[in-house]
Amino acid sequence: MKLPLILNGDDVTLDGDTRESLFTVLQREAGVFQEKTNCRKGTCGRCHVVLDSKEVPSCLVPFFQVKQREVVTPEGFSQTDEYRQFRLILDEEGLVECAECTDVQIFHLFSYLELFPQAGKEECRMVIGEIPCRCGSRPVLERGAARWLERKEAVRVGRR
Amino acid sequence: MSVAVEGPPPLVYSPRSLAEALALFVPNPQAQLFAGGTAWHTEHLTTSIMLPPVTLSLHLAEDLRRITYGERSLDLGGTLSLNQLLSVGGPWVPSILKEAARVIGTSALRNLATLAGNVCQKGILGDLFPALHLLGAQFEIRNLRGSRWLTTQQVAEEGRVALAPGEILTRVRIPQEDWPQTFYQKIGNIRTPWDERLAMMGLARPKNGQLEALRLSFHLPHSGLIRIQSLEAELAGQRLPLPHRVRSQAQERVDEALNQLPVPASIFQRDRVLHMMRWILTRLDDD
Ligand SMILES: Cc1cc2nc3c(=O)[nH]c(=O)nc-3n(C[C@H](O)[C@H](O)[C@H](O)COP(=O)(O)OP(=O)(O)OC[C@H]3O[C@@H](n4cnc5c(N)ncnc54)[C@H](O)[C@@H]3O)c2cc1C
Repeated sequence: MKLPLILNGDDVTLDGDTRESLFTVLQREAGVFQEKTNCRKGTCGRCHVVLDSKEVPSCLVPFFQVKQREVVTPEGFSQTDEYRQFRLILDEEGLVECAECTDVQIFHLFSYLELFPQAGKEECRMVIGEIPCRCGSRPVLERGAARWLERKEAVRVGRR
Repeated sequence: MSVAVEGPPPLVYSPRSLAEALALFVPNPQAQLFAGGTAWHTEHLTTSIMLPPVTLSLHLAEDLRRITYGERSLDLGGTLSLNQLLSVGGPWVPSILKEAARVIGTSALRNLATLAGNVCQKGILGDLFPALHLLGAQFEIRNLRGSRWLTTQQVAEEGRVALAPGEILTRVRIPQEDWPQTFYQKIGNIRTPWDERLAMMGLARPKNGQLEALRLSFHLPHSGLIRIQSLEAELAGQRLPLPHRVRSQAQERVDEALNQLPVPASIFQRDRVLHMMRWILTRLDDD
């Protein structure tokens, strides 16, 4: 089954079986998530993509559901200005790159804050805790999230 | 290059509305519904997604995602995602329902997981059900011939949402009532062993030094749901704070109910339930 979709801003057609997950097809057909293994149960966060502006575990999304929809992967997101701005804040807070989780965490946290811009400290802590990793970057991510939200709020108030 | 998954591919339909979904049941009476697919996946854990032979995927049916604000009730469309539910601003969605939704899976999972999918999981009652039961919610069930309403009381008695082939849970109706005090605590998640998982919740309406109304529920996913409506009725009207004797009697009633569960509660669950019960009863007079 060949399906058209938008992947990281490009029109593409991917080939897969109805029962395959989006993760499996992206990995095989589009070369995405090459280095990664994931839990295939929707818990580890390592296969997350943004599907029509909502972050989802791609291992739980059946391929047939993505026809003509827009998919952004962490790789695609890392090419955007928003990623660079968010990353800059995190670097200023002292983020030490972790090969296991940094990109996944940034993608996850950013997607959440887009959906819930009113998120408080506790909520951010919970969301960061959803990606299991022992690298110790959580406090940095929490501080970065708080600064990002402050900045967005300042822009919003300034616009009024 | 496509790697085939074994066996013939299932027939998959993606209806664009409720009417289309219902009509598809005529030529496909055994078709099964697929909403977020997240419970489906846990029911059939394999590397590919084990779709039923005939699948009706509801992801394009926008009319099943509507929210209707009535004077006395709130209607939530069955395929609203849990995050859409959490995004509803203002006092409309009762806080106890939001609290129960917020601790289901991860935030990304909650973009897929739906209200109806949670309620209709096969074999178990999802985490939203106990909260909906306390709120006195009702479920609208539709088929091609018409609709019926299922009360949460009926579901609690049956132990599950029993739907006939061709039926769809279309709406959840929640009466608008004022519950100034809400208690919610969930212990464990999908990775926790069954006998260490439980959720405890309560709604209370203290007024002028009296307990006007109280609802309490304890959910042990593997063992069952404890809700003692006769006890709730006895506690309503009592002066606050509740005297020690009344609290002890209430504790005993919950203890008895724990003994009557079809699958016995673990020592841990029993301890937590009784502790939480004690805690709620002492917090009722807080402003
Ligand atoms: C990692 C992970 C963590 C989870 N954590 C929790 C948790 O903490 N608590 C919890 O309760 N659950 C949990 N779940 C299970 C599940 O994600 C949720 O219950 C979710 O709300 C199910 O919704 P869904 O739309 O994905 O359902 P689906 O998987 O699409 O459907 C579930 C069942 O409901 C039926 N159904 C779906 N929609 C309708 C409808 N409109 N009318 C009639 N029948 C319908 C389907 O046929 C199927 O049998 C978890 C799952 C995963 C993978």
